[in-house]
Amino acid sequence: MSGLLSVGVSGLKAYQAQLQTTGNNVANATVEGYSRQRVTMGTSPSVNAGVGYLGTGVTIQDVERIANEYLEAQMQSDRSVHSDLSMQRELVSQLDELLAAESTGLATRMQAFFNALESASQDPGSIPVRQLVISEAEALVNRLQTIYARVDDVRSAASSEIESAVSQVNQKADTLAKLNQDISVALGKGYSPNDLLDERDRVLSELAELISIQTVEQNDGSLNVFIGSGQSLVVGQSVSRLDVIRSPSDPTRVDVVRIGYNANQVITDSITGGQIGGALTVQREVIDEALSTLGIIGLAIADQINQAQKRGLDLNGVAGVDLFSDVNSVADQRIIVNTENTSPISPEMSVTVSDVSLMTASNYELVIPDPLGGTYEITRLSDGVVVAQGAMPGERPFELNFDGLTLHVRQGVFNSQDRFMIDATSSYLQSMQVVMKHPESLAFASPLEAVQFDGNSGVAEVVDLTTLDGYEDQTNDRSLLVEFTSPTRYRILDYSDPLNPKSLNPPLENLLYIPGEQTSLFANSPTDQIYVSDGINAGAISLSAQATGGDAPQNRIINEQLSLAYRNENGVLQYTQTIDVVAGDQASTIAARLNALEGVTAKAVTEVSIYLDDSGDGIDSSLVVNGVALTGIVYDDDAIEVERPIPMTHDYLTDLINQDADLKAMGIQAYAEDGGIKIVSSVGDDIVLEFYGDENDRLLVGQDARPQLKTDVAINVPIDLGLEGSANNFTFDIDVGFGSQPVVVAGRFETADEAALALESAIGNALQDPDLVSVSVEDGRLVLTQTRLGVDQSIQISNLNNDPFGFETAQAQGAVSAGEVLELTGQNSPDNGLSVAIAGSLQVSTRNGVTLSSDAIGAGNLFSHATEAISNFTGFNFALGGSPNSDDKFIVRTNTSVEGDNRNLLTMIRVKDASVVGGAQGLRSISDYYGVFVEEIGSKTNQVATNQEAAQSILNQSQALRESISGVNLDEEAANLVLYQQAYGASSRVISVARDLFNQLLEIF
Amino acid sequence: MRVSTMQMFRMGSQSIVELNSQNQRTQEQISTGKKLIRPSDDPVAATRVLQVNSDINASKQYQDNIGAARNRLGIADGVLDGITDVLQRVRDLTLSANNGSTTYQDRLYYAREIETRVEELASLLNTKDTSNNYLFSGYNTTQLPFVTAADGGYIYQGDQSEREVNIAAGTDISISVDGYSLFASIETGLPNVSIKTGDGRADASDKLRVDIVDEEKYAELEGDNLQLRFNSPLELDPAEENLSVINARTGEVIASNVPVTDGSSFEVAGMTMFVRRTLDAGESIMVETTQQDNLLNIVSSIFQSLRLEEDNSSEAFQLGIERAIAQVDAGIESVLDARTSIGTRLGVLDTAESIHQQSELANKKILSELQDLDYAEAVSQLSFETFVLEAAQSSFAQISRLSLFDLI
Repeated sequence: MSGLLSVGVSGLKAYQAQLQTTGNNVANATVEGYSRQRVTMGTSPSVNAGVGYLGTGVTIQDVERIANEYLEAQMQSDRSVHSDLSMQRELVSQLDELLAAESTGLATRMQAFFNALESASQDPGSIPVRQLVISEAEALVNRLQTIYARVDDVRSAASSEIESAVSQVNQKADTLAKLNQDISVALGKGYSPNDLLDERDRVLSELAELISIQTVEQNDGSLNVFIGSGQSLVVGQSVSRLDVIRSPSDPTRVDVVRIGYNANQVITDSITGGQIGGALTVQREVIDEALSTLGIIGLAIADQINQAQKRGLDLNGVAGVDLFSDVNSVADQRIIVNTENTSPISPEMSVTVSDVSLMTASNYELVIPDPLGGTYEITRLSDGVVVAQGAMPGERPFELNFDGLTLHVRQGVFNSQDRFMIDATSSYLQSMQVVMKHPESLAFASPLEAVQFDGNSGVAEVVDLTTLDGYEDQTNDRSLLVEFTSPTRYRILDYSDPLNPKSLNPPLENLLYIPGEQTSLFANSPTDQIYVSDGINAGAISLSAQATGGDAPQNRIINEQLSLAYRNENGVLQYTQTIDVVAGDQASTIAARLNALEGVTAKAVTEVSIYLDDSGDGIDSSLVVNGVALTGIVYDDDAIEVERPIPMTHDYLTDLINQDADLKAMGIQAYAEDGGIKIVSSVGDDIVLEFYGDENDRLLVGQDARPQLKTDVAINVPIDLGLEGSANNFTFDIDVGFGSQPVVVAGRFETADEAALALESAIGNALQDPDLVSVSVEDGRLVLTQTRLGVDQSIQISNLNNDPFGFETAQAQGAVSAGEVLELTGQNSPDNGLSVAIAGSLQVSTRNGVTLSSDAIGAGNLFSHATEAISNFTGFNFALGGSPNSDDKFIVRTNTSVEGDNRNLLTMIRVKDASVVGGAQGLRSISDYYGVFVEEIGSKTNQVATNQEAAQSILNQSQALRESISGVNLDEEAANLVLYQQAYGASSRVISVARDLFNQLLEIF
Repeated sequence: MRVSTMQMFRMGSQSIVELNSQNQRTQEQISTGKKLIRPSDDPVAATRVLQVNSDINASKQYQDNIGAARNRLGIADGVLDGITDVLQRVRDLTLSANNGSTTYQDRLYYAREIETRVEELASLLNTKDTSNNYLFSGYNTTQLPFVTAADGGYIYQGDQSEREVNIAAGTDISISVDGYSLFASIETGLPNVSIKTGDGRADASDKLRVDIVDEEKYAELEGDNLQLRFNSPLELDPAEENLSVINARTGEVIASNVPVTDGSSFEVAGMTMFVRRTLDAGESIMVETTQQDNLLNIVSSIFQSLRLEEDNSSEAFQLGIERAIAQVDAGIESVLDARTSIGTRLGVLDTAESIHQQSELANKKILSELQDLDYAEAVSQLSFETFVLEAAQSSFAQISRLSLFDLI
């Protein structure tokens, strides 16, 4: 009976515990992290009653916590990921919102600025519209800085999130250490400390929200917690503390450090997950790039507009000044010295922007990796690429170029492991401002004007006078005279003194102009060069005339190899291309082959001067040019036939050539010139001439060069030759092909020019032709030039009396240079004549530093062995269109009419659509660059939001899984309550039966 | 699967919160009328919106520029019309003066009218536009283009340029006419000199007068400029003010150390040069030789010759009148050319404007497709979302009411 009683009591006790546990479950149903508990019961050991084993009731074995440690760990890591992405989403969407609205975005302000420029172009002299440009520029800077500040605010917000999260991590670590201790003590006593375990899981999951963790359970039940790449946070009961410090490399950033016994360990880069990981990711991946991008936009606008300003003239006619502050005004601030550097005095350094278009939205770090400080390395932080490295130059100052930036080291010494941050982009934007105060200072006018001389007889005009990048660096005088020496050749002279146009250095002489084509007169880049064919066979005439009817005559071009050398930007030879010129090739063919190569433009032209001496009787002379017989008649302006003259005149022949449709189609044109005709093939084909006539008819075919006689000593002025008739008179005989004629020069001359003038007029009188010989002064020496082609090959001077100019020596030294002239005499037949071929010459323009050389020996073929490259970059360029005549002149000079001039303004407007930013990622316009930035922020927000939602649902799932195991279901507990209540009731009944049995037994007595 | 009570409540509330936020987003779209609210809603479309907006903006600005260009060209065209009328009248008067029956007295009347017409012409050529800029002085917009020089003739003070504005990306159109080529450089076939300061930029006819006395000798020089350089008086013995004449093109010294005083004259290259005022040593005067003259001088020469000759049958008079009519015709022709060119440009402006209008329209359509909300869709979306939300709320309410505790 006592057995029955004790069985009942054991049941009562057991179900009391069950009811209490169930009650506890109900009570804790909504406590976060609570794991439901169950009382595990066991049957008490039976006793042998002699007839078998009798049960002794029930015992409570344990109060069990229903939890799955794997699920707990899974949930912690899911929580880390989720809070990481939530933090990122929170921060990035602030940027997203900022860029979204028209009222806060940059696009509207940029448009407003360029619209102000456009409006100004309608009336560039108006002060109110100029004022508007300045106001819009200020608004633009303001907006850029506002956006920058807002992005910077997000960075600060991220930093404070990191700071508060780190202090929470320290608290949680302390709590965990305490719990570890309590749990190991409780387990030591043999019991499972359910509530402590629940508490520890709760703290761990809160910690996982802050930072990603790994846990390892020890035998004593305590849990070790590790962060980052395995750095311990809690080991048993000991704790490592974390701290947040300003980054030594960049004071605007924070670093997370783990405090150690001796030194603090920077763990910023190894932290992942949790709020701290999320904030760090945003700082690293989004904000740094966003700030750099905004910085580059500021640099690009300022740089482009300031450069354009410098290429123009303002309303007062002076060169423009900066509209925005100079992009290199912050050159020194771009260097941030690492606070941990060991050098007591940092080297003096600065960083200037050399080309915004090459810049990448990133900061850079200069490191001295070498133990002796002998090398340097510059790393681009956005992608970790080393952009420059090498041995540290010994001299000071020196410069290093990378990614559109130039690092200037003025003086100082580097120590090993020194580090310097290069804030290439954002420091400018922070100090950017509109520095222009007066609207008159906007340089809307072009600095130059191109004017044609009033007396020009050709129909050429100036088109597209533009200034180029690098104009502001050109110091040469910008007063230039372009003078056409023939319809196809021009030279460029310094015109700063209109009295004395001077040769440029290097001289720009004998440049090729193709009539009818729009031709740029100067180079567009300082690396462009020109090679003018100066070989003896360039433009040469056949050695001798050959009879017509046989093979076509051959020009004088012989085998020659032309090489083009291509180099990279540092001048290192990359490869060469060769062109083999074969004997008899036409200049046009060679030009076409050169034009097929990269970086080369070749122009070819063939020119020849002819002089017809038609006797007018016997067989009529006739000329065939490139197969076209000039036998027709010409028409005057009113389309009336003009009778063919006998003897044939040069004017008529010129008209015959120019009115022929076939010759026109071949690009052949004729120009009347002093004493003859110049025939030009503007495509550079050979000109083949056939001449027919009687023995008294002759055709002289020659080069433009005319016989010259040059004295070899400078004139010693003043010279007094006395009055006419005096013994002091300079007398001599001159022969230019019409026999000797006596010349007398008298008078007193103060200058060489005066003497030349007197000499010319004296010779003119003697020859009874004032134009036949011209006398000019070159370097103080006299030069006699026979102006008429082919009359004779030389100027002969003899019988000198009192030679004050040194002609005797000139002649003794044979200083006569004659042009190449071939004489074709009529063969007394209308069908049999003589023919010659004339080769063309070339002008090759190369770009990007490509150089041209020839294998020619000595004076060579097309090019001589010493053909020199000439550069005609002046910082501006203009083109001529149409057909100029010989002696036509154009001048380029400083512009003086600035009020209505908006040419430079038009180039400023072009900045809007010009591709000027982007570096290696490809050049874009500034607004497109901003567009890409907005798209990147949008995509990033979008991506983070999607990932965050995914992480949320994963977290929900693992939470549901955990809840399905450890969570309390109230209905279940209610059912249990009923069950346990009934079992409790039943156990009570057992006791009551035991009591009844006992009472019945007692009643017996 | 087991479901804990807390999980049940959490899930219920979570889905309601999500539905709420969706609802709120749709509501935001409806209230702003845009489906794109943040760049993250559709990053690619957001960038396109920026581009299209900037295109629309540019179209508007170009249309504004086109309007301004049209105004300016319109004004110039009106003035040119007036100039044609005046020239036509001058031509008629000149022809009448040449009529054998007109008397000298008649011709004097004609001359007087032509003289008035010259002034009218001058005021037309010096017209300003609405921004107070001279129409025909090139970039020199604040400079009166035609002024009376010291010698009584007119000189052109503008430059040779035409101002351009941007009417489409990369397309500039000239919005002015070049007074130099139109009015100031008419080929007359007669020798003419203009006297400028040493740098060739400003009038200097107050310092020098040049008469052409020997056209043949002068013709040798044609097209070259002469530089009159004043030398130091010490170059002559005894010291005396003097100048040298140099051909600016060839550098040839034509005359050296010619002694001059205020009012003295000398002959060189077929010209008599009257020095009105001597300059300091080192300073110079540029004499430009051309066969061109400006319209005002051409017309002025007509009334002057009408007054000069009493006999209109003389050969010189006839020749003069023929030349004058040819020159006036050249003037009328050049004005007509300019008006044709203005007409062409107005046509270009019209085409450009209509292109801009069309592209603006097209861009607005694209913009609307990119960012504008389809209200019908959005409203039905909203009512659907509301319906789902209500369903979620009521089902949650029903489920949450179920509890075993209520039954025991």
